[in-house]
Amino acid sequence: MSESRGDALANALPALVEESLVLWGRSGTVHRESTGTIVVRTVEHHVRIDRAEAGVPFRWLVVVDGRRRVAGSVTGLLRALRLGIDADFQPSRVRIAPIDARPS
Amino acid sequence: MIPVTVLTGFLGSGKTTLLAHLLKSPTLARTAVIINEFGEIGVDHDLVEAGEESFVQLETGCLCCSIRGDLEATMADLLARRAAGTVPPFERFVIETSGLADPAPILNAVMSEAARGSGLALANIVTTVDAVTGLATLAREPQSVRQVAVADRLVVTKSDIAGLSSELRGRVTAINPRAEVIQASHGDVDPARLFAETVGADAAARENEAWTAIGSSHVHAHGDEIQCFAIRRDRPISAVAVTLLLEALADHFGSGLLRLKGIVAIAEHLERPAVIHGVQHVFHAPVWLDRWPGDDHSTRLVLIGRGLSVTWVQRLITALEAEIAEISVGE
Repeated sequence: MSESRGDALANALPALVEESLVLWGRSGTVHRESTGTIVVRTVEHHVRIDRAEAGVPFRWLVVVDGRRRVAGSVTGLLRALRLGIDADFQPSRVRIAPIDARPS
Repeated sequence: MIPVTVLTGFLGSGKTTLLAHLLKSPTLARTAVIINEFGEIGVDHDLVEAGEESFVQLETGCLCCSIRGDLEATMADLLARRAAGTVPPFERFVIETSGLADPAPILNAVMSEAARGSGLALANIVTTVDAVTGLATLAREPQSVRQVAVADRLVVTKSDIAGLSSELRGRVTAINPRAEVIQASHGDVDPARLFAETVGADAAARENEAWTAIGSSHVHAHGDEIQCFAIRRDRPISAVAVTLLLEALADHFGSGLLRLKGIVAIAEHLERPAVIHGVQHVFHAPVWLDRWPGDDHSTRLVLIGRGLSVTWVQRLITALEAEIAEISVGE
């Protein structure tokens, strides 16, 4: 049976988060619970990543040590996660303008 | 568009000699040159005689450290004076960096100016390497490795004294496998080879063919931790996913990303690929090609920098594609 679209993201995200910890020089574990929640444990932090409920203007809920952040995309989720666990992280202040899907 | 060429290379590697020779060529008529010298009193600009309708502007201090803002201001000022007719109507910029400069912040400054709609476009990066001392310099000076890593064209100078040794060729090719290697004696190089236009759709297509010719996920790691890798994706990527990808690269690679170039199969317009180009956290607006330059219609990205991870980028693209697909279904 082919992987459904929801499964594709559910499988891709823990692998991305795991690799992100490596990239950021943070040791920790990444575990996906049966509910779909992704749990990240580092030496100093405990993080839960959940999909947002339907009808809200964001897609992800990132809770770091009880502190709630929201994100509208996987990119935003990574930013929220790193802000929560990496005190030295300074996200880019430049936002990339959306690529116009119509060629100029 | 006014193309900007950045001429870099380590101290004594022959940048000024090369520039002085090139400016005598009619090919480089109407060129505005910005020379950066380290120290309060510069002499390099006295060694360069600008040809008719060209001129030289001197900046002192190290471009990459203290006066990056000054470089942007200088470019903006020269553009304003060009528009007012108080300087010759130049058609290109050449920026000669000091030999000690890290090229990335300078490229960043050029691209920031371009992003402001100034009409400038980073055209190419030319790096000089001394045939006699280059190998030792690359072993000793991390800055010289960065200068080689970002180049589109490498000019091996002083080849009248020493030819390009197999060791030096091997070293520069290991650092930067995409750059064309050109030998020069007394700065004598065909300007057309160095300053071939790289702005515009056709040129962008040519450049990207060269840049992305290296294999998929090919990794070069160096003792100085500069990496170069290529990513190939056969499936088209949505425009939104590409935007989110660039944003994530800016967030998590930041100043570590010396250069990014790529040709992208955008899902919404399969017949017209987009060329993307970035330095650190600054990205050019994509250049849309009229058609694919060859039979290979896959997305190819080349990244050069420090602290990068090819696995992370691959996983990021996979997750972004999955997220966009999920959203599309939900709409």
